[in-house]
Amino acid sequence: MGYHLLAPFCLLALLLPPLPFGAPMSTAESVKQAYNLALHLQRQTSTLLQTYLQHQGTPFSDPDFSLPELSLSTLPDTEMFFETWHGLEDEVRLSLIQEAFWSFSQHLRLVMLDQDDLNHGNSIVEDQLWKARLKAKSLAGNLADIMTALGVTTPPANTHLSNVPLGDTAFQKRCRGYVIIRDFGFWTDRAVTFLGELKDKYSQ
Amino acid sequence: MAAPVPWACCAVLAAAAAVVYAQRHSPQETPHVQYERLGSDVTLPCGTASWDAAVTWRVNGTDLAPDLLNGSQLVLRSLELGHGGLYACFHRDSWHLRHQVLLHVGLPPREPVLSCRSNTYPKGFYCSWHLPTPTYIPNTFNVTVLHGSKIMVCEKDPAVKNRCHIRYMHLFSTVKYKVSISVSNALGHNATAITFDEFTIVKPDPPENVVARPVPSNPRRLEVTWQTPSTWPDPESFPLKFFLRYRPLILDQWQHEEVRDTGQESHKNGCPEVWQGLSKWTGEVELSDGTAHTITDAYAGKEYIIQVAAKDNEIGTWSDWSVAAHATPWTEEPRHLTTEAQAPETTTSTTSSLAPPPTTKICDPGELGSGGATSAPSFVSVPVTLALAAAATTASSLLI
Repeated sequence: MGYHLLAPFCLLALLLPPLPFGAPMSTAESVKQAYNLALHLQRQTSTLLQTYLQHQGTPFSDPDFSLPELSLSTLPDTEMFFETWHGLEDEVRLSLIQEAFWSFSQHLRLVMLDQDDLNHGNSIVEDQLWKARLKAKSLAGNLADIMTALGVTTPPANTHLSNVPLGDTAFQKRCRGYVIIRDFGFWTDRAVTFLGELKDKYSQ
Repeated sequence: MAAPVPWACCAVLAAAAAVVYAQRHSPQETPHVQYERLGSDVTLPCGTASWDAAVTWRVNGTDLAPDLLNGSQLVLRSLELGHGGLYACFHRDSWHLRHQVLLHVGLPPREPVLSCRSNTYPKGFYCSWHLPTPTYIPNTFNVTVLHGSKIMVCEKDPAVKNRCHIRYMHLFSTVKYKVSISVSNALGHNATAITFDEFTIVKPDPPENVVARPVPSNPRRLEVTWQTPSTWPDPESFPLKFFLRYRPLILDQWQHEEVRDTGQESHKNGCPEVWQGLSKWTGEVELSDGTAHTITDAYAGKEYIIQVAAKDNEIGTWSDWSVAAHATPWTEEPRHLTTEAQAPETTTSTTSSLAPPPTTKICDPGELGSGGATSAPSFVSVPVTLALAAAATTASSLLI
């Protein structure tokens, strides 16, 4: 695990005197903040999915709708085995989560654009998507800052989406939105678990 | 061919001379605007007139005494605000207007006072500013908002002067905001800046529509309801908690340092303990959810004043207190002064009280008077409950 890499930072945080007003946040506090943000996100992801589906009409709005076999190649992978994921070093997982949320912030924007076509004037869905996107972008930003503080290389900023599949028909767009929001929930859960662990490591 | 050239030349020269003449002798179209500092001395020349030219000065149409003149120049000493106005100087004999000055007397700006607040978290925040003292002349303000190194747009409020709004582009940010403001006018310039974390400026508006109602057949109860402030955009994602405080109206203040003497019985025996005892009928309750609460320990028959404040569950500070609600608990008709001691019921929610009652002399029960009808409720013998013993510091940290 990457604990050995984090330990010196933990020690440093303990040895440093209390920071004066105006000084930047410590890494431990930044991790805690990122964790709280991920928790905030997590509270809304199931509502977001439900709301989205309800406003897409049949079959999406049918009870127990699900298409588990459907996936989007431009989205971060959700297929990795549980053991594999937990076997990765901390900074690797941190990096993957950071990239994932940046990617989701862009995909959610795509869903907003699609919904503007498909459900024009529906402020409920638009509002929730907007909020989710702002938080996803914020989390990506916070995680990038943590990575910089830890000396982990961050991916180049502002890599934009291109050629996202499943966009030819209205039905496909609705499907695309479903997959994005569904996987967003999955990654949010993953982020909460990981950041929770990281936060605990820093508080020791 | 040679002949037209000198002709044209003369014409041009004549035209030029005419223009020069006109410029020197026609009245100024617009007065020269001048700003001068309050308390300073100023000398106003009469345009391009020579020092020894014979001129008369007028201000807003009124002649000025010649003793203010230094040659053709007007000297004004220790400028006051009243010195502002339209000054004109005229050629003494022809009354030809030579020069006009619109004088404004003012001050350079002092350091502005700047503050920012988010009552619409997580949508955005606003910053407000003002000058501590007036300048009496127009000021221009320029506000810059930086989030780390990113410049953010601050949109002017269409209705409120000296306020602008910023939309959050990042939530739970670990990077501080820096808001700078510069102010300038014709006499000077000043600036200030503030730096803060995202969460520290979060302060909701007070709860709305606070209503208190008596509960039929319950002389000790008051039902209070309120609403989340309408400006708080997302109470589901960012739920609010509330703080409710209540006291009998006859108690002057929430802190009971002075208690007003309005009851017959206390007036007779002059014992403040009677009213001191009323402090136990005050209460404070913190509520983590819901927008309703029932007070169960109200003093029967007394009118109560109730207020509520709001705060995000995790971030920021408490709002100001809401507009107060008034209510009197239900009483049976006709109403009598009670003669029995009324011990407060234990409330169902956490109660942290205000500061303990001020230490005043405990009255000699013998002073309470022999008349049974006017005997005070025997609060003197009721011990101060644990709830009242809460630390004053806790209370002060809960108060805004």
